[in-house]
This record gives sequence, structure tokens and C-alpha cells, in this order.
Amino acid sequence: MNEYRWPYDRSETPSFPTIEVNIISPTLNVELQTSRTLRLKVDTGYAGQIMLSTDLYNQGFHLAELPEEKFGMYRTAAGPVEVKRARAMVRLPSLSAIVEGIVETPRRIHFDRNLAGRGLLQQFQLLLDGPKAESCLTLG
Amino acid sequence: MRIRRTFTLSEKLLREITDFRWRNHIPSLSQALELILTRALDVSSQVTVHQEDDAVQAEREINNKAYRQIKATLVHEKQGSFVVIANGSLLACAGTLEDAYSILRQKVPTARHAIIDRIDEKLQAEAVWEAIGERIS
Repeated sequence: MNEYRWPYDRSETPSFPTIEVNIISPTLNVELQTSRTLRLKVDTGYAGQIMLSTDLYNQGFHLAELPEEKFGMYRTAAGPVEVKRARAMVRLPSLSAIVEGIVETPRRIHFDRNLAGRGLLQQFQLLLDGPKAESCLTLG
Repeated sequence: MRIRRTFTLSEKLLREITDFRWRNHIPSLSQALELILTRALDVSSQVTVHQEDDAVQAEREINNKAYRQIKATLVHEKQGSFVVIANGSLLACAGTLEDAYSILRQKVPTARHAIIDRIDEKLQAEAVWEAIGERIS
């Protein structure tokens, strides 16, 4: 059984649980070793897999986009947010297997965070160790 | 000071504002409209509008039009494979996402937009994002 631990993001109070993934888009390098490592904030209120910042999505994910009829809509306290969706290869560091994932970003508003939602988290066991301020992800 | 101006609204929007007025027991239509606009401005002040690149948007329209035209055929013939559409035409049906990426790099290295779709895949179209007061910019 493999375990991965990441410290919480302490830029906010209380600190924020995070996980790290590699995400590969068509224009990023093919080799896994040079794929982009991203720290995602864990957001269990978000139903999707990975919500990317506008700037990161713009670095190649338009080249793996889903058709518009498969774009999504989230209802938030601030009103409905339409998201565009693209297909990405997602890998956890130190793990050889790659999973196909769907990344999203709001279509008409600028978004500046990277989030891991329930759609991604449901594939793993994730322990949030508050006192140690660590996320611990277990692969069975 | 209150100012009178004349605006034109769609019938549907006016009906929705009127419904909002009666549902919330607001004395006048003007007050209902003022309340709705005030709330909308509160939300807008937290949001930075994202203007998409024109080239990406133009290619997206062309590729989605092509997708809609060939979708019915693909549903029957290409279930499970990754359909790759760029420059307004079907480039290939790939067995894996990695292959689909390779095809894009080889065949349309200068494209700004492409569609990679798994034909039989169903995705959730709408969901609730639970965060209260989620700040989206």
C-alpha cells in the first residue's frame, strides 16, 4: 500500500488541505518526467474532478476540449458558473499509472485557483490530519 | 435622489422580475428591479470577466459545428474510441488519450483548438458548488 503526504497550504487561516498531481495536456511535454506538477486545494464542495485556473487551462487544454454540449454548469452562491471542459492525463507523483481526467475552468470569468473535487477524490482514500496539517493519500 | 429613465426589456425577463416582485412581496416593480440590480452588482464586483482569445473561439465554433454534423455516425461506429476533430474535420479515432494527443501534435501542430471526445461518455451537465459565498476571481 502506497501513502503520499503533503503539507497543508498555510497561506490561509486555517490552513488548507492540498494534494499534488501531474497534469499533461497536448502542448505540454510528452514525457511524464517533465509534466507539470500542480498543488490542488481539496474542495469537497466541488463535484467535478479538477478545476484549473484560467491561465493554466489556457496553456494547451483548448487542444483537448470536449464538445460544447458536454460543457457544465455549477450553481453557486454567486450565481450560475458555466465551465468549459477538457480531457487531461493525470498522474500522482511516484505512481506509474496515469488516469484520464476531466479538467474544467469557468468559461466567462477569470479564475485563479486549482482545486481537487469529489470526482477526483472518490478514487482514493484521503486522510485529512488537521493537528499535523497534512493530507495523507492512500492507494490500496 | 431617484431618476426616471426608460428601458426596453424582453418580455421573458420582465415576467421573471414581476414574479420575483410578487414572490417577495415587494411594493413596486421599480423596487424589485432595484433590488435585483443591486444584488447583481454586488456579485459582479467580485468577478473579473474573462475574454477568450478570438482565434480559439473561432476554431471552437468550426470544430463544434463539424462535431454536430458527424456525431450521429460516430455514435454508431466509433463507440469507446477518442474522436479527434480539428480544423473543422475529423482527424482520427484514437484508441487512447495519449494517441489522440500524438495525432494532434503530428497533424495540426499550429491548431489553437481541437475536440477530443469519447463518444459514449456521459458527463454530469449541472451540479451545485456548495461553497457559501465562493469567491470566483
